[in-house]
Amino acid sequence: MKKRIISILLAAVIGVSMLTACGSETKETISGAEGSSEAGAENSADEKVLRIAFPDTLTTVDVANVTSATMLKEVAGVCETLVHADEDFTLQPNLATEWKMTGDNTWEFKLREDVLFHDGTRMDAEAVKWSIEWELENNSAFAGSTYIESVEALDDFTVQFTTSQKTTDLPAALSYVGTVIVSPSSVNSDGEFVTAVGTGYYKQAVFDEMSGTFECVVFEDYWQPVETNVTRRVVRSITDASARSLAVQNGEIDIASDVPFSDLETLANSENVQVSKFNTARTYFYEYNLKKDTFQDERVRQALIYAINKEEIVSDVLLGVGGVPKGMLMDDMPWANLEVDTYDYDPDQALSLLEEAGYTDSDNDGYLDKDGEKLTLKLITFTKRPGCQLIVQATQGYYANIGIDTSVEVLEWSAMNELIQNGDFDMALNSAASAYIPTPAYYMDTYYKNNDIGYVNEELNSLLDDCKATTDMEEKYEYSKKAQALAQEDAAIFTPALYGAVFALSKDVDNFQYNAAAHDFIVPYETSLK
Amino acid sequence: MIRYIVKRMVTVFVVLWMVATLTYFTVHVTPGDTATAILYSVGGESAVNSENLERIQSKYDLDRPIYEQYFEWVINAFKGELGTSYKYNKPVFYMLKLRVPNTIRLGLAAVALSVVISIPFGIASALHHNRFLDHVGRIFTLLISSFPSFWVAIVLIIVCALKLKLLPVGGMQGPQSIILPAVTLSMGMTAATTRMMRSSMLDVMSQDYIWAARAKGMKWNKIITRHMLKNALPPIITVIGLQIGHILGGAVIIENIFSWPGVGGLLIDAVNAKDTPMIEGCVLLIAFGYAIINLIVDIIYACLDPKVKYTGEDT
Amino acid sequence: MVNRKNYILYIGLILSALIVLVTVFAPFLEPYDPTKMELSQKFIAPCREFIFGTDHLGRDIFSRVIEGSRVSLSVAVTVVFFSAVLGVVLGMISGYVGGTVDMLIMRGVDVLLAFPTIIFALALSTMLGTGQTNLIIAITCIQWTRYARIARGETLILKNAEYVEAARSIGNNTVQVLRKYIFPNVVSKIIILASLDIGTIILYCASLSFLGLGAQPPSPDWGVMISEGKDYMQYAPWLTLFPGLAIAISALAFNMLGDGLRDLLDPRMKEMVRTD
Repeated sequence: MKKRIISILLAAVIGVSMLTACGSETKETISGAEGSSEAGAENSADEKVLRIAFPDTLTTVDVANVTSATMLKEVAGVCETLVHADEDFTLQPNLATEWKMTGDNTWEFKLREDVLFHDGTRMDAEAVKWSIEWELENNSAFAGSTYIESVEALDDFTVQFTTSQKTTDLPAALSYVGTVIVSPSSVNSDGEFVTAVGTGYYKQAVFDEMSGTFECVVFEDYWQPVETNVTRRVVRSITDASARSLAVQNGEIDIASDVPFSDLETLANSENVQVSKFNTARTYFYEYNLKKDTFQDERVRQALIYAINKEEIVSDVLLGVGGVPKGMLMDDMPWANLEVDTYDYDPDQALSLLEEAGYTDSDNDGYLDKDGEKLTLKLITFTKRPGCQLIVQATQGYYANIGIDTSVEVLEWSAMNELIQNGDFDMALNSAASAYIPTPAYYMDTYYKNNDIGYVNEELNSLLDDCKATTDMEEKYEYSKKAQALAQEDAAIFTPALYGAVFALSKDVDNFQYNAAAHDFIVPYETSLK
Repeated sequence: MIRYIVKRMVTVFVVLWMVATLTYFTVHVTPGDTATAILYSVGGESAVNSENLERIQSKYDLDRPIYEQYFEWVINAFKGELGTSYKYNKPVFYMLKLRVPNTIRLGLAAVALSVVISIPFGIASALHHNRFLDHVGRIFTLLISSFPSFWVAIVLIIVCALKLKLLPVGGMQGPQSIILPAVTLSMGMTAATTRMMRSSMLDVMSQDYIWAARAKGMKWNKIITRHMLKNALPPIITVIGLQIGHILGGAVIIENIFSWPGVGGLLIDAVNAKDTPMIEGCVLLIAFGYAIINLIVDIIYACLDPKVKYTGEDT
Repeated sequence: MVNRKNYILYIGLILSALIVLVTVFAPFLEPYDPTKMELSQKFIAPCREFIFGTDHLGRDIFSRVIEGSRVSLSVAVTVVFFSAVLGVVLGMISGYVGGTVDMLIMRGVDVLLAFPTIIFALALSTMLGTGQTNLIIAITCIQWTRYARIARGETLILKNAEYVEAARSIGNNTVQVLRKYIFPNVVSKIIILASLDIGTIILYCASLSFLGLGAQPPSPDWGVMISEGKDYMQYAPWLTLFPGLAIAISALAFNMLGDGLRDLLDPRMKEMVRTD
């Protein structure tokens, strides 16, 4: 009797589980400004849906979360910033019309008066103040990246920012995704951020927290005229690169960023996918551990750069996705100094420099040594950017060619950071967005001046300070270029390759432009479907 | 019976507490490192600079000794507050609550699939003992349990989703999204359960009362359903329970490959981002789930087979 | 005598022996240096010159797969060996001595069995860091419990047997009793578990290496090869195909061996042995 009950129970459990497995998925919507769309149901002739794959997990629409802010501003087009950086890194007024520095630590920004939020209210200084304060409070990275200390509304459309230190780069900082402007109505009565009520051409329709899917529809009262036939955008989280690519090939997604490099070849002749590569403002860069004796000698540092074939790395290892640096930064940056020494591939020069520094193969074992000790280098890098591991392995190969023994460790980023701080490495391959804050001093300030590797060059530091102090653009460029030249001479940190990205677009996508100044990638409003 | 359950529950809690402690000190990082991990999760490498680091250290009070932080965490855990995820900046408990149903769904689908295939297959194997079908069965189960699940997953994605355009590539967009992950996940369990079913049936088949029934003239069908199944099934329960642990572990990788929004994917993302609160939360949850499932399995088994002692002895 | 009953054992034995031979003679079997980068010959499809083709850095995949067997097998054998030793010793002590010692050890076993190996290894790796040694430590820390359980179970049954009583009465102390009388009877089950385990460990290691814990480049670990080749799946499927097959065949060989051994030594032994 008992056994029968148990077996019935079992059968029931199995039956139920099969039902749940086959049952339809219900979407839990967080906010329903517009109705949700059942996939395919509304894709009739009057709805043009642009489906975009986002490479990170989406868990919230809170603008204080940088991943979310990036998606909202650049991919969905729901939120905007006061200032906008265009393709040649010049700053354009966006939600702000003009700005001036009014004191050592104060700036005044004038706002557009014709901008409406998605809830119908007008964007004014109070709203800007609210947004910035919300972000300052909830985004841990905000203060250190923008130096904003407080914000006041001087009148309806004038805002005053007070910075924690004197900075001429506040306008650039206000193009950073973390500074998007939203309406206070984004937050509900419990103080939770539920809807991104922004100013963009698209407004939030649905956010499905569980699957990380975000949908937005056209906002009729957008403050600029826009030409596109897209009526709805759907943003899906797909963290795996090949999965993103497959999704486009499968017809599930229209735009996917950072797909595998080899797709350039595989999909070159595809009927329903267009694949293109772009150079980004992001760099790969190597840092030497200057706390070690090995790298005190400038000849060693230079030799190790001569030993690497940067051209081959870009063309064969990265499969053409990226750029060979002519300096420290990407060519198109207005402040890039392209006349510096990049120590281009010359293994003979590398060997002779190393010999001068005392490294020869004295015991004929195929490896270089000095004072009886074999030259062994520990190369470390991190997992997040697939190109890093490839470059490091290629570096291993090049060093093996000239007789240098190497070991490799690939770790998660903060673990790598810990090793760097402990000095437990020889060379570290890192990656950075050189235009995270699009100013001529930002990149070197962050990685060359404030570093953990023991690199100090007083002249470089004062050039950077001068660069940050002046408000004249031409002067800024000059200081920056001089600083770059100095840094390249020191060869303590160098750029083996410029980061490239491959995009896979379905054949229906039109008017997609890539903007290198973006944090990740921007899908412009004008992108449409054929 | 009740005493048995209570005793087991106490054990479960003790074990969980030890698991939590082990995990906590395992993933513990130095204050500077925690701050770095948080900032990196928040804004990428660009967010990690000295000013931000200082702010974070004071905001989360990271300079306190590890023991203090640990006790605070334990007390909160009992209250159900598992801290806030560095990466998502949301309560860990909330994220887990969101994702757990998906993992359960996937797990149940895998178990259901496995059971549906393995039980008939195992019975058939036993009935055709040492004949062709049996050998096919043995080779089949050996093969399935030898292929690495993540490799099969990759191959299946290419073949089914791409070449044949039958199924979606990943995510959770409808009933068809669960098929590939469930199939891949069920592989190991199907193999083990089939073998167990076969061996259990063989044991039962050799019992005297079966032959007695046959001698009395009962038809095979009736013998199978009336006598054999009832006695062959109990050991299966235990195997299923044990295999669910395997499924929980396998789900971690499968969810990652198929972008299935479950707890497993959450754990891997957390490990990659060094999101310590989330790692602790996930591990605790999985351990808890596994313990509860084992408890249920043991109870069911005890119900079915009163010869099992209630002292909690392992066989 | 190879009859229809134990063909699995023989196939398993032959395959396993082959794999061990490959591992031992690897340097002679590899046509090329498995770690030498040669960008000019990258992504070559399988052909006469390169039987399994070349990978994204121009390395010969056949050589890498062979070299990888050394990595996989050495890790698996190391883990199984240490797990077995630790597990058997602790299990026998636990079963024989009983009492508080038994309870403590079993609680420890419960804690470690409280979650699947992969989860534990993942968590442990954030503390220990990547690398093969740490992987071995992480997996061993959990695996010994499987052996401990079996050893303890057998010890419990055996310790009340007559001959054990007799041995005690003639003056053997605990260690001697365990060593001379109990251990030999535990061994057969342990051997079966060990050979089955090798296949399981190979799979665990592959999974963990696939996730990035474990062997570091340029090590030709099979899991790492699959992880690296995954992004080129459509372009050059041979990067993932052959390592995957290698894993499958190795695991299959040892699974067959263990399966066959079980049929041979103890056909009535419950499937419970395979408690992984």
